[in-house]
Amino acid sequence: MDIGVIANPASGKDIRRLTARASVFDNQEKSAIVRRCIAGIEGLCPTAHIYYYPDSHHITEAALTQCQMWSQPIDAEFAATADDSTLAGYHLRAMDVVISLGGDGTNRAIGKSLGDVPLIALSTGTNNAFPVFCEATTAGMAAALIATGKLPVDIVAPRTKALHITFENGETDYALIDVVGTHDVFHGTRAILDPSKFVFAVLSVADPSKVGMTAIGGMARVVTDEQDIGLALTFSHDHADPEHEVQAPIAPGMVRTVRFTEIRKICLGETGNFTGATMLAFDGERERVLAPDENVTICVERDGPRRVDVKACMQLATCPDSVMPHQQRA
Amino acid sequence: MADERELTYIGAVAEASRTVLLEQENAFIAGEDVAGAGGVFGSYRGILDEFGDQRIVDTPISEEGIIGLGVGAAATGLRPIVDIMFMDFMGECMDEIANQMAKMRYMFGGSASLPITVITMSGGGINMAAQHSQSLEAWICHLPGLKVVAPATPYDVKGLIISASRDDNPVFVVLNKLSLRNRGHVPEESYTVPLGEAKVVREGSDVSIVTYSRMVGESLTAANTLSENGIEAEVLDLRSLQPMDTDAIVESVKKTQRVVVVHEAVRFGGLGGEIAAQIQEDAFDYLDAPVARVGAPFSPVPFSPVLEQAYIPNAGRIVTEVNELLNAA
Amino acid sequence: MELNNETLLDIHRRMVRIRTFETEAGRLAEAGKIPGALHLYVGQEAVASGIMSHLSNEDWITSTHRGHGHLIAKGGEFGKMFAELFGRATGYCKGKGGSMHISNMELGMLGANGIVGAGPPIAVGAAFSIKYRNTQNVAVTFFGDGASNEGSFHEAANMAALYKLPMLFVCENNGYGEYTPQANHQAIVDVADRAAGYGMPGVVVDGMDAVAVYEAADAAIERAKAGDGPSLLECKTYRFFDHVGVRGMGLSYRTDEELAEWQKRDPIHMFESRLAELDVLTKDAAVKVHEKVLADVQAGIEFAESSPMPDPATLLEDVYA
Repeated sequence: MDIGVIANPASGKDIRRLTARASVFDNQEKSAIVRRCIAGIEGLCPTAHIYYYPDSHHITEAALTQCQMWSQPIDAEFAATADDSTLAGYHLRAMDVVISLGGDGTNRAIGKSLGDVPLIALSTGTNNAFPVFCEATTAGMAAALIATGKLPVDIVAPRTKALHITFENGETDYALIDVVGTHDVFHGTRAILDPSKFVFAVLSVADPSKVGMTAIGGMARVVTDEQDIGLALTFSHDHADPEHEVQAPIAPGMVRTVRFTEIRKICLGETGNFTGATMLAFDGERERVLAPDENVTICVERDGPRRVDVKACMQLATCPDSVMPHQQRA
Repeated sequence: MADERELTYIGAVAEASRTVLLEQENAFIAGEDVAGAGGVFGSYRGILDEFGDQRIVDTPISEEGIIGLGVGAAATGLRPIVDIMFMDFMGECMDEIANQMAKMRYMFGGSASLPITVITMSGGGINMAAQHSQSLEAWICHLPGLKVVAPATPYDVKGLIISASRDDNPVFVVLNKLSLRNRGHVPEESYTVPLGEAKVVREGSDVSIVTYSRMVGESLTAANTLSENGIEAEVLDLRSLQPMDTDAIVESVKKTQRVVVVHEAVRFGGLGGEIAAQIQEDAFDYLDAPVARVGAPFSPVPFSPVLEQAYIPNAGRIVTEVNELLNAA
Repeated sequence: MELNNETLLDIHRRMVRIRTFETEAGRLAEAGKIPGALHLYVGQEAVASGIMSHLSNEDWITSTHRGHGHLIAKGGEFGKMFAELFGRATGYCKGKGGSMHISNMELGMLGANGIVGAGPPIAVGAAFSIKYRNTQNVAVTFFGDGASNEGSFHEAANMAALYKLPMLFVCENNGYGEYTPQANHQAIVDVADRAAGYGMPGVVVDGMDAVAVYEAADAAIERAKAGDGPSLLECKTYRFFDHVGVRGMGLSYRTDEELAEWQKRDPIHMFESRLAELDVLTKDAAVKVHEKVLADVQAGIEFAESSPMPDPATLLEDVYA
């Protein structure tokens, strides 16, 4: 009964608090969320072992100080960069379940290395499509139920989709929700905000009820978590074709007109080629600089992290006959 | 002069403030409870209605922030009047007073001007105890770069506030709590009382009483008592403490050859020591007796009315001190 | 404001000017040629440069004891700055302020400050002044992680937010309050967290990345000018030299390894690499910028060294207006 915890101290602090009135997540709140998770775990499974990422802000450590449960930091060389989450995910591959606190970026980093382990992704980031807002105590209880083997993992933690990116030089990268090509030239504050710089996007999920690129795509065509397709968008900045124009929440507090030249679905495993961008953003953050004519290949696969549906966990624990949404898909 | 217009001491503050805001478009008032409440003692009553909330600004209870607001606004071209309710609260903002306001012009080689008026109150007598009754003018008089005035009468309150507001240096106007309801002649029109100019408020030939603020009134009362016994005391109201009108002090000493310096502040380390030193430097040969000092004892201001009365200098103590001085000679 | 090539080169030039001035000032100080104490800005150049490239002489700043970089980025002239550090009559403050009080009102620079945390309340006053006159300007207060523990910061933050003043609180978190590491002087890691308590947004910015600082400042200034009030930008940075001087007092409070880690992210090197990739500034052109700036710095030193000392008769000037 081993449970991993990765709390990312850097989430919820970027420029979007200035430009878009995004929520502020201070580290005391993150620590309180972890504490509530632990309380949920302890309530159902006090003998579970907690392995945690020893973040530089001591978020998890602070949460564990008042708790009687067995806990231990992950023994690895962390560098206080975004790679930490990937390294932490790697070291937690043998857990029964992992709880993450962060945004899409955090979960993308964890997803790169976590493998088959069910992931409870609690949102503390900015415009998140992957993690969920739910009460941390309940999330902790769900983690305990999974760790004690009381729930069918395939049902409560179905595999999500992921985007696989291949560069001309053979390098590869990975995203959970979206890959966006833009005309930016600097990483800068990393957040993508300016629709006039969008070139193309590939989405694994297009959900108009969220915010950010997934919502932009979702306003044009909905792609659910359960559907085995993705969406490819190319943006237009000149012509005004009302058929290809949406008012979309591009960031918290920001609704803007976005125009497309093309919206097309792509099937699992189908590769698309994209060019014309100078910067590639993964799950909302500008990460990779592209050469002017550099071509990127992107495909959607169903090999993302197993994301736990906390509501399904609690329902199944109470009423084992419940049928979950993704079961209907099959 | 029965037709002379009278105002209270506090009313003179309000009238001076109004005059300054009318005369100077870059002047504004900021402080605790100054706008909506009109000042805890009514110093700024009516200003908000007449000038609006851009010209008179309620601040949080943040003295360091208030003085900083004044310093930054003054350095960048405004002419703030900031109110520090009681000067006991200077402890909360002494860095912005001592290290910023007082020194900025000098540290910057003269490139900055700080036309700030700080209005604050000193003195005991209303049972506000040790942290709301002090007379700390010596603290600020010790800081090069600041000017300090301490008016005794409604007339001087108005004239000194207007002068302070027109001066391009930081000027502290130290008011006195127990004087707030005192009435006196105040002309309706705008006028100034020059900074650095003392005033003989009673002519005399036997002894000089050098004093300021509320002790001017106590000294005048003492002088009347002394006069009944044939002693004619001259009372010199300093009005300005920094710069100090040393010439006027020396002038009076030359005339009377005897001096008692009177202030409400604690005697040890008070301005009386500075004044006594200046007299011996500039008028030693004229002295027929050592310079005497009347001030508060070396103790915090007590609360109980009985104790407080025993603490604060008054006319009786001044009479005693003068008599001892004259008898010793 | 669009980040065009001109702006990028402008930011680069400001950073190189700071680095070169400070390196030479440090050298002169270690050689005993500058009286008093110098707190050098090397390592933090991206912060001052990224912010100041948005500002004009009508925008006001308050600075810190580590203030040379702010004045240089605001347009300070090397000659008058060195003259001030040397205590000469031709210095910005006629030799009356020195390193810790160096200032220039015409450039909108309200002084370096020897008192930690004294700047924010003064910047509140400057921002109040801007709002009072209703001009499209901002006041920026620079302060450190150490100063964020002073009451003055908290009073200023509260007042700026209360009055919705056009103001930026720029915390240069270099990890140390003098010689005490942040973990030993505050229980939080992100000073930006403090903003929420005053009703203003707070963001964490990579203080080694000039573009990140520039973009964050852009957003904060837009907010300020729109009447939405102040913002707190916490720029995570590092001082490559000691608290005082270059090698300082030789106190063992940080490790060489930590310094080396941060130096890998040298703000000027990183920026120049990217500018070269973008073909905005080739390596050769960058070298030329450094050479030109070094020549300017040397001319500044010569000016200062050949300048007269203040006449003792000026001692009492400028106490009062």
